[in-house]
Amino acid sequence: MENFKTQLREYLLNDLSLPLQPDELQDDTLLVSDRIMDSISSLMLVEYLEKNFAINFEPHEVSAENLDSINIIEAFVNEKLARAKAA
Amino acid sequence: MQKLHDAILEQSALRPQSVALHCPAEQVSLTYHQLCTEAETLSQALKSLELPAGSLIALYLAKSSTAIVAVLGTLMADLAYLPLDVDAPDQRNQYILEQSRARAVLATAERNFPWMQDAPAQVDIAGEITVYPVSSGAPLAELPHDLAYVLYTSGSTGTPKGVMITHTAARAFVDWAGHTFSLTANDTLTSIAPLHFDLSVFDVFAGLSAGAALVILTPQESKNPLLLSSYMERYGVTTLYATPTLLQLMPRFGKADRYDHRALRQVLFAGEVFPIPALQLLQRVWATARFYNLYGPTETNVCTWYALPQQVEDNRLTPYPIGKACPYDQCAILKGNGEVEAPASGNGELLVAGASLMSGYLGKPDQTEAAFIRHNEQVWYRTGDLVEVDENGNLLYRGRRGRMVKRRGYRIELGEIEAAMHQHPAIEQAACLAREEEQTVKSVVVFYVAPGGKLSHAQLIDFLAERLPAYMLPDQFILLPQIPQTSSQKTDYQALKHQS
Repeated sequence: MENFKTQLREYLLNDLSLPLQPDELQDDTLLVSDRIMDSISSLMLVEYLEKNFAINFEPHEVSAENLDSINIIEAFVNEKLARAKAA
Repeated sequence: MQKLHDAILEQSALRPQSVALHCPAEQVSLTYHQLCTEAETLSQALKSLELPAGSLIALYLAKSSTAIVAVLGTLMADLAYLPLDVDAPDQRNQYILEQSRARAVLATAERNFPWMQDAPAQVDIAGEITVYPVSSGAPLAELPHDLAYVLYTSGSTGTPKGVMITHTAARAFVDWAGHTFSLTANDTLTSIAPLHFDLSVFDVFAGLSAGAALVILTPQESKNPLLLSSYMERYGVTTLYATPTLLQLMPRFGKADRYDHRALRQVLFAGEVFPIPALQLLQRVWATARFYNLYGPTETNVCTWYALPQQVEDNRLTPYPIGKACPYDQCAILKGNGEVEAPASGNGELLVAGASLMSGYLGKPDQTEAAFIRHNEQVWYRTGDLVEVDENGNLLYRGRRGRMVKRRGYRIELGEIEAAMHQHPAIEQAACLAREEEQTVKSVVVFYVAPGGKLSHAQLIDFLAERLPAYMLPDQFILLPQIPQTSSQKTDYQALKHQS
């Protein structure tokens, strides 16, 4: 899923315009905990993930726990996709 | 005299087994009987401290069933509550605690607060609420005898100020709201606003006084429109009161088509201007609900209101009026030439007089004095809001006088952000500006001069986050070689506007 990370990084920097230089955005940079991404940006990110990866967030899943870094987001999306496949 | 909480106790006697609070985050619901019994236990513990009536009790509690118990228990002990913002920096809460001379702090075990560590005695109530008495010197002398609560708002000089509201003043609004919005035991209200925000007075007091059920949202939950949408279905929410900031997220992020919101009969909003296109979208989503615009600074509580038409006209370009005075208040206008127009006509700064007004700013007699003017043997509060009266006698909001803006329903004194920036050792000068479109704040920008060079966004945010609540944190920082000045050596904000 290197492709996923690249795509996501581009979205975070260019579409959400997070206040970071490209080299400051690491895979483990904490976006919510370090107040880089506000709540509206988080909602837009959820919308983006739902649209582009055919997943569906349950209401309680829209939280920092699942959106805090590129690594965390990737793990969450993978888990959602795996669960959807199994179902 | 009837107290603010009396009607809630009456509801408990009338319908003890009805649900008073749904708290999905805690996975509990409390009946009226449970709520009032827990509050009674707390009130007994508080009474054992033998504080003078009307003494202030600070609540260091996030929005939860426990926080509502704390509010009720404090009032039942004839004391007044002072809700702290648990997410605000310790420094700010420390200031409020000291300045208010609160006599005790109520907190839960899992909250740690460095400034309370040497609290002498503790009273633990059923393992839930801990009472920490504070011995911070003599209480401030001028507390009104029937003080109900104190809410701190942003202050222009860099420190927040405590707005004192009595039982009588709060009840003027609460009684009217219960009647006007026909609240009954069949209603379910969302309770979204934190207790330090005056919108919470509607849910907690008008809602519970009517025997309605409240759905308590935690601060985290209240930022999640999808969750709000699902709770509205689960609990059959009939009445929603929130800021336009949250409400306008609902059409895009709330997935209302997936949830059943047919129980919703009214939507109340306050705190800021609702942009027309966003309002139109929301009215399409909740087509059968009535919409109301409520207005009022913390100092007056809600003082004007306006019922919106069922569907916003397609060609409407200007925001809706804030309406006419609620029956317990009167409005007047202070003209540019210093004359007062009462009743309100023409345009100028809005003045409010009547039953819902604050008693003053706690421990700040000079600022209290400056907040009021006298006219026709009446005391009028100067709102700082510019208004205009339209041909139907409705008030139209035209922006702020001075350097205060509103964001997410909160009032922000830009001067308070500047004061916090000036505490940074590397910063020589700072000036703060709000970018606004259609009277809505789009972003807050700070310009600064730092001889040592640029500081990163993260560095500055971290620094300010220790001093200011989250809603006051700027969106952008711009380094300048110098801050432009006017000929009278003041910051030239007009010139700065062109810099951004």
